[in-house]
Amino acid sequence: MTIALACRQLNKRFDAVQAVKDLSLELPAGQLLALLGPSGCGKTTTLRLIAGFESPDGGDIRIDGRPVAGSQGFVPPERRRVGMVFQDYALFPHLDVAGNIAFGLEGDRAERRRRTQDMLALVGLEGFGARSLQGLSGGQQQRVALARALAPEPTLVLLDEPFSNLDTHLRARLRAEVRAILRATDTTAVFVTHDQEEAFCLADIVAVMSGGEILQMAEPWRLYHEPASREVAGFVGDGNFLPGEARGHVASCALGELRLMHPANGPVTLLLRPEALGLTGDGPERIEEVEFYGPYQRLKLRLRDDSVLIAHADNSRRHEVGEGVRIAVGGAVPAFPA
Amino acid sequence: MVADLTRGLTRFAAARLADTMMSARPRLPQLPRLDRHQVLQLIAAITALVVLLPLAWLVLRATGAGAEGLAWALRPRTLTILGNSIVLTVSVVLGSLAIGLPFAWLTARCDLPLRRFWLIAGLLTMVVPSYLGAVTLLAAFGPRGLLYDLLATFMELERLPDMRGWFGAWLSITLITWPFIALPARAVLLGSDPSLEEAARGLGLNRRQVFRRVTLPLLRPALTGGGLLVALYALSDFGAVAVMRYNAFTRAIYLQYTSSFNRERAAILALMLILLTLFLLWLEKRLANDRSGARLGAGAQRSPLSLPLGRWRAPALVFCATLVGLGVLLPLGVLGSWVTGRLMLNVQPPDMGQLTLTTAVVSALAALAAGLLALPPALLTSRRHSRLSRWLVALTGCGNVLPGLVVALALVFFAARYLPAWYQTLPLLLLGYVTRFLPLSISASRSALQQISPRLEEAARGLGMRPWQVVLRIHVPLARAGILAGVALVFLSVMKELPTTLVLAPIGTRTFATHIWAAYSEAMLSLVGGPGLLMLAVSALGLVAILVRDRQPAAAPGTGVALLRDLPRRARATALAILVQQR
Repeated sequence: MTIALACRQLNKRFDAVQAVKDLSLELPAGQLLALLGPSGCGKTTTLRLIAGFESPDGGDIRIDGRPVAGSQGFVPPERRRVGMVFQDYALFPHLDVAGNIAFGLEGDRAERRRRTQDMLALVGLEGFGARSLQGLSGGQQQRVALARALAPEPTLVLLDEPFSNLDTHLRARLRAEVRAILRATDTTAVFVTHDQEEAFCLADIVAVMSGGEILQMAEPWRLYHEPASREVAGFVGDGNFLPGEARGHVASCALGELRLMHPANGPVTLLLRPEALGLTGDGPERIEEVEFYGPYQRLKLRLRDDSVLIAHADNSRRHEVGEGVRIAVGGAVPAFPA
Repeated sequence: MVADLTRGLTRFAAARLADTMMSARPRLPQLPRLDRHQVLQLIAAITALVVLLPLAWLVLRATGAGAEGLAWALRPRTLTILGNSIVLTVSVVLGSLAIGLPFAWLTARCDLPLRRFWLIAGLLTMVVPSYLGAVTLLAAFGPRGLLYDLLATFMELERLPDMRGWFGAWLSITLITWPFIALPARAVLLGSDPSLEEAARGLGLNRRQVFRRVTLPLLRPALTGGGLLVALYALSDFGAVAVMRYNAFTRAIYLQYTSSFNRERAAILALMLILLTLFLLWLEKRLANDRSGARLGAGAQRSPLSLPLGRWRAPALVFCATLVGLGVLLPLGVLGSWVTGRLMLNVQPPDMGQLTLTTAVVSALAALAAGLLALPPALLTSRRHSRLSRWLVALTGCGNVLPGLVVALALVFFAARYLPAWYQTLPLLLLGYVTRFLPLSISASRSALQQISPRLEEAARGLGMRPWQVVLRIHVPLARAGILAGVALVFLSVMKELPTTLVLAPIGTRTFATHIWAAYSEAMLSLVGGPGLLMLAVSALGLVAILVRDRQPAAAPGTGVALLRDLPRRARATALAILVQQR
């Protein structure tokens, strides 16, 4: 498996702000990496460093094994073979759809034309070549931007918040389409997002960033179920944090003894995902609030020791405020040192 | 600044070296290259140097005269020239205020009939070059003038006082400069929140008090800004001053240069004029930070009510008609009468074809050169720019803010001393024009370039374009309208430019401007007619084209009057200055 992108100890500072700090990552070819984090966490700067629009203060970047930034010199963006899809698409307003897609193409006219047609077909915009950009919807512009980036067959495609300009409905559809297109072309891609759902359903690997650093980089499943720290856990999905005392494979807490995912000792914070809390019959914990979301009910539970848990209950039963329930935790839970 | 430049140069050399090494061994990793910003800075620095070198030499030449020169400069006769210039400048500013403010008020706030017509007719006065205005005024009201007898009979006078001297110069210049006050003032009167004035009325002030305590303070930034532009214009005007034989700096400098060939004295006078101009610029800079006219909060987006004129309607109409009559109809009428009445005189009519061709070719060459040379500085300052870049471009602006005569003389002195081969040649003339009008081109291109999202540049880079390819494939096509507007402005300006052409044109090369000047000097006024009319027609068309262009929302912004309303004050002043360039 070849490594398409490798960053080592990247650092970038803007005046007083350390935008990227000691960032290292490796991305195998053909994989999709999401950089996930709140705004200002350094994810877009990382993307711009990889693209070559910024140069790092320290560390180095290799694309397809070739050093592009760092101690071995700096390769300008136009020679990195990196395609970029911008948040606002940055389509060239003076060119039509085909002109935009063909912009980065080389070779003779017929060849460029054929490639443009192929790309139009790939993104489902056959017959749109001669259209001007003004008449296109947001989703169509997005697809033109993607086609333009993919046309020169880049080693790596970078997408900066690719779906943030679309409405929710369109977003879900385009997400699937983009994923299919990237898969079909076997493209290695890095995209930036602040939307956990987007990162999880699009990416093979997700890197959670905060303060310019990568907190954890893993497959979505693992990231969700085995977050490396409380911070990561808080950022990906809802979570209940319950204090407990660990002894090897078990920990005792307000819900009794729970099985731990990894052995630990001493005071810990346990992560209980809302959907992992099962409610059975009558019990000592009280339902304080019920919010009906449609597919599930979101319950606020008050425990005997007065701590509060959030649980997502399926619709097999309708819950009422004031009801007493018993809580069962399914499977082993992750724990972080308190 | 110097350190920055040296660093840039060193890196440039390093990059060259890297390039050669690359070609020898293609696999070698890159050395640091001179980035786009530094390349542009280098070009901008060279441009600024070319503009400034002659001026610097002129200053050196003047200061080189030492104590003797200082004594000459402090001579009563020299000080009289200084006094004349100051008197003219101050009186023109006051005159422009006295005309411009009421005109703005009438066209913005009153139920004046034909408001739009008066506004456009008023703007047309700005396309008349000062020398042409002065020549036609003199032809109408001077001794043996076309309207002289009529007016003398009407006023029951044996003879009219000679208008040459201060009065003539003042009138010719004021008739052209009052829109500098009227336009920004009108923009403020239209744009300010009417509820401010309504609130003042509600607090118990009458109309007069509201004007003094609310409206006037709101107008102040527009009036000071416009007033300074007027002052700069009056101080640097050559045409009207020379035609009216008013001994202000520009005329005195020209006389020293042509009649006595005393370059040192011309240089000393020029230096004094430069210092006076710099003082005005310093004043402008200080007053530019004044933000008292800005709206606080959103306010109401209503237009102010229009005030019924009542019995003031007739005087108001007479006022506007007089302005348009003197500023537009009079020059047109006089020129027209010369064209039709030419046969009465026994003079050879000018070869209009040759004259038009020369003017067009010279103007087009200069405009193209300026359009091209404007790109690097415009690109440099269209994005977040460093202090060095800002300075480089500001220094390039010297060629435009300093009086045209001074710039042209500096160039001719410099060329006579260091570039004798260039002396009296077309390239030197073109260099003079570019020095003068490059800043117009720069600001027009820059405002268009600023509309382009930096993302587009990055997208093009990401798609494999090198920086210069990005300029050709993204910047130029997208900013085309603005760049072309800049080229058109330079073309119009060069066509009307008198002092630069007069001083730098090779013998035998005549443009409209120098032809009119020669005809006036040789008292063959009828020869002014054809070229004068043609020049005004082209200028007016240019103005209309710019106005129409700006009406279209998609057009590149930055140069026209229609936009003045939306621009902040400084930018508005620049746009105005761009619009009218014929000193």
